[in-house]
Amino acid sequence: MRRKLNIALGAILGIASLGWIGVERLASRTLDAEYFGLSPTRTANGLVIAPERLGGSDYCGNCHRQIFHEWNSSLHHFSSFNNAVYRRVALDVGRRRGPEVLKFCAGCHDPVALVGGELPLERLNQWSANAGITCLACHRISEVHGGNGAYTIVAPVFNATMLTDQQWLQPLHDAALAVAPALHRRAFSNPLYRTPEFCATCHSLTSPKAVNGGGDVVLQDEIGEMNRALAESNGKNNPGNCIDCHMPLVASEDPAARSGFARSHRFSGGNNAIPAWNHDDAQSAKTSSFLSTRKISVRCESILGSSCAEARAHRGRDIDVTYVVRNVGVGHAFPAGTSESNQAWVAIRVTDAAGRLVYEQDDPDMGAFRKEFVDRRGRTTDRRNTATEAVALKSSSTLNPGQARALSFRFKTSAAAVFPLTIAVKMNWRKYPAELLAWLSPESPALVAPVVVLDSVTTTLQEAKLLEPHR
Amino acid sequence: MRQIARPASARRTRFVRSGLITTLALGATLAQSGNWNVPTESRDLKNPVAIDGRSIAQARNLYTLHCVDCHGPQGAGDGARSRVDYDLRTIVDPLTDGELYWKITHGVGKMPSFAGTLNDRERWLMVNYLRHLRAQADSK
Repeated sequence: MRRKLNIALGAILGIASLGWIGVERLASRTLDAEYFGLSPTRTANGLVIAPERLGGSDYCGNCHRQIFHEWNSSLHHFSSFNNAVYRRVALDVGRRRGPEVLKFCAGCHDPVALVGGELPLERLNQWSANAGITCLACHRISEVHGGNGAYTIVAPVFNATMLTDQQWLQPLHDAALAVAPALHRRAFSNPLYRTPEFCATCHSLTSPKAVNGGGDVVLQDEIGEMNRALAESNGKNNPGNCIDCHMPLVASEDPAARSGFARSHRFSGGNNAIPAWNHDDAQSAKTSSFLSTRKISVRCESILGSSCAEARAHRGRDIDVTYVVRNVGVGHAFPAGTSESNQAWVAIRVTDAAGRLVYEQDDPDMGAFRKEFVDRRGRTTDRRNTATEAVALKSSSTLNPGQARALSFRFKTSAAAVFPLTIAVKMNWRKYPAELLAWLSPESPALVAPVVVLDSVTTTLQEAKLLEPHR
Repeated sequence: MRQIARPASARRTRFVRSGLITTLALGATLAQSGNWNVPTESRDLKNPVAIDGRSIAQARNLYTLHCVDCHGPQGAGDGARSRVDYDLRTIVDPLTDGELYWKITHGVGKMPSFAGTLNDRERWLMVNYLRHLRAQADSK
């Protein structure tokens, strides 16, 4: 009797599921290669995934409260048109190149709108255009095939937005979760998500000829840089996995926690500007702490050819100082990501014992670590248009893992300078250059990106006695 | 007294039943609570934009452009494109300016994040406009 009942129940569920799939298939629009255009993103069954089916991150947050709040502040949330920089750059590119080119960006920046069949966008203030990378936009990816957003995403069975609206469905969801929690885990978690290849589907970027009109050019390749560092150091310099740094284990009471720890979903990285503009102090502090903790070091190498501690200088003479900047803790090149527009530079300030300024250099374009790309006319792509217009790498001064570079400065003391001199050197970081922000935000006052000091060192230089050499 | 061991199936049934009850109760509570929780430090943000006739006029334009479709002209939730199941004017009072700013910035559920659509000053203008709508409702 019991067996017959189970078979009958199974048959009913099976028929209902097939019916649901059939209805869904009939009701859904197909997204073919023509729709996706320049984007390599695909849905698993080739159908539209309605935006609300990938939305409802706050619904996930009903149980996963800590993870939701971390994500809510993160750059993954602010990847779309709710990111002031992306928005204005996308509008500029769309205006010059037409809206179809934005599909190349959308797989990673606007996944909900892309697989929802909503591109080109009708309205910029619609929800899906400002959703960012929702919980399910990541947690329903089933396969990755490479960079540029080449992934396959599957529609979730439960519709979080519908569950929020139709609260009578909630008990069904909860009952299913109570009876078979493994189904929930299987639906939203995947060993793939812990691999570098998963992150690389969006954090590896090659601008193809079809987009830039010139030829394929690699713009971001963090996973390649990690692998090269491993190979070149004969396995000694193992940068680990992306999530080791960008999603560290944090103390958590979240249902997803194991032994009291869960992966942080703040995705701390190089962007300290958006949290600052959002007045999000917690995210700002976490990002600053992430950036300034054992990533880049700056050390005094020599003064006048001598060791920094032993050097002595005479007044009125040129003083040469050399500092070494080393990538000590970044598993990929520094800077990474949009390294053509990030600003990382060494600033030096020399004062005498009376507090008077002797010398200062604090120019983001001097002593800088960056890449420079050019478009087909040889112009530097300095308006965040590298992904769509760069055809060649012109120069690179980024630091691979473990790599160091020496920077030298020369200054002169006046006869009135009072020794000892204090030489303060900082390794500065700023996400967006002031010129870019002035162009992006013509309104007054323009956006200003905060500067974070990644590392600093202060050296004291004593005066040489009368007969002592200047060294 | 001799203990009679319960069969495994009965234990499983009891476990599932108690799990169901707990989860249903938890789910019902959480479904009502939403996720508008604002970090403590953001609640105390100070609004740098003064409420005056000019700023309210600017805010009204922004509200008409970005909010009226869902929230309706007076914030009653009777938008032409989509309806909202609450009246904005009834939720404003207990919230600080910082909380309102956070919500406009981050969005939640169907409410989009306006961090890209509106600049910093414009978001603060909207905070003022919500207070203005509330005050207008009182004066009627």
